[in-house]
Amino acid sequence: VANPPAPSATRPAPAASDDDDARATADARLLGDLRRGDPRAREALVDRFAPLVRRMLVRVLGASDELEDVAHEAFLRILASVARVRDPRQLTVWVTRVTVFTARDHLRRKRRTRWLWFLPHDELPDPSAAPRDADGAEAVRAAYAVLANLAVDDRVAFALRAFAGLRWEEVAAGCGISLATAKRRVGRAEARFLELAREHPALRAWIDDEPARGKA
Amino acid sequence: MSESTPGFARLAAEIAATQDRAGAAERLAAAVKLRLSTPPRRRARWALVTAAGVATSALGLAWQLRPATFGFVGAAGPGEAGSVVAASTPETLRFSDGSVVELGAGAAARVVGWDATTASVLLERGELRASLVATERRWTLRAGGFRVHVLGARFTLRWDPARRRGHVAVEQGALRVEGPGVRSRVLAASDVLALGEAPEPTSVPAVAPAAAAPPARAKPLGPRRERVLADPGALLAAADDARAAGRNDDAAAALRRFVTEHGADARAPVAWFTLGRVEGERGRHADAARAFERAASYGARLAVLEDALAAVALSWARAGDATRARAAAVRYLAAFPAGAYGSKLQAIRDGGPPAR
Repeated sequence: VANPPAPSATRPAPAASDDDDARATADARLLGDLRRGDPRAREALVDRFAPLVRRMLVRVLGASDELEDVAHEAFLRILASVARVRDPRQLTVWVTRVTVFTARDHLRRKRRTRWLWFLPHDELPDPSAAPRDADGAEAVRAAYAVLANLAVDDRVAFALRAFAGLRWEEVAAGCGISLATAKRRVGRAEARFLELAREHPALRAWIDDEPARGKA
Repeated sequence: MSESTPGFARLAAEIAATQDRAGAAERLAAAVKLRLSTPPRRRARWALVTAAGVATSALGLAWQLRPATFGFVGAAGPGEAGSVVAASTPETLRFSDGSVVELGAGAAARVVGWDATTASVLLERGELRASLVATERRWTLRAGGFRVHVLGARFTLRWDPARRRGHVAVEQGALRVEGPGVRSRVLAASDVLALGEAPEPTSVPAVAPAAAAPPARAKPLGPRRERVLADPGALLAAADDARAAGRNDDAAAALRRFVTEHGADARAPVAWFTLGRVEGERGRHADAARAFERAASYGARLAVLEDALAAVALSWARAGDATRARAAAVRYLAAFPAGAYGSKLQAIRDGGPPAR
């Protein structure tokens, strides 16, 4: 599967803060180390971006036993293509985009082989959070069960916007699409998600915000 | 956007809170780094081929382990590949890449050899503490029939050749263990793996040290380990960590011990349910069905009762027991006539292929 296109050099960057400058400096050093083949740079890259990669993957995929596999694949792709990133300020965008593309490809593969299982184990709720809030854990599981009915591209954009909390520009950059396309996909996915969620007993109360849920 | 409605916003926040487990990113990073550093594990079916090539391999090994510019210095001065270090008192071996191996009193180790990308140490007896610097060099430490593969990590390895027992305790980084009863197990910081050449080793995370405390030297397993294992919270945490690391065998062992020793605990229904999931993921569908049945036996105390009842039927179907699957489907449909799994379980009840 081809990697996503490199970040656009013409895309206007937001105004930089001191934190941004410090991060860009560190990323520039990291990129330099990677290009020189410093073996420690690979580990530094993983350390630097593991939280981001994990957050993007779990928001898009939900609870998955294959998270480590997908993350491994994402980092392999990142390492194989990171030399294409010329502007250190685009490194985070690039990592996000490769991760999103990897998650999208994973979802497509799963969809192609879904007929092999009549109830994949990941459709069963993961009760690890149940003692804290059984309703919440059930709602999370139900949300991803509903997401599974959406077109993969729409699902990815919607999850990035609604669950990962990315800005519109970040959704578009992560998916490698225009802002208009991102909004169109999210809007389409949201309408379908809400339609299905209102039919789901575990989600209806959340979506309609029923006071009877008793959540402040 | 309805994202801004309170209900949807709470759902999004619930998703984030559920998914953002403390330490999960660090564990993922450790696992990914280890995968990036180690070649794919050979499949068992290649064992015969490998055995047939032993003679060739031996020649290759001798070449691979020839001395290179790498080296080490011990108490007696520079050491050579193949030399044995028997430490009557604690002794430190300092390698040229900055790695350090500290031998405890009474320990004996052989620095087997090294080349440009690998180094190998055999622990014959006693305990060593290794602080291996992460470079392109892959280390292999052997103890009995066990092999510990490391890129960069700080850990303790102990081996008692008389009892054929030992352990590996990771303080920092990650490593991979192979050996009798251990196909391939990744350990991350704070994990302890008991090594034994007869029974199945057990793995539990050690008690996490206080954040401000300096890294403590891991102690041999003993009564303290039993105390950690017996604690119900530690067992559940061990199961969660094992699942997160993909060690379903360990997760199943911890969960079974929890439900056996703490069946009256309020978390027992969820533990049974989780055990069902883990057994299913291990392909043990009959065991999964029994675990789901135990979970469902708690009735309304289980928040996901409907899912448990459905999973009983589906697991029996996967196990190939159509009679039990059908009976469980009938039970589910009676309890949840408009349930979410209705179409799937109707198909099982009616004896046809399950609906997708």
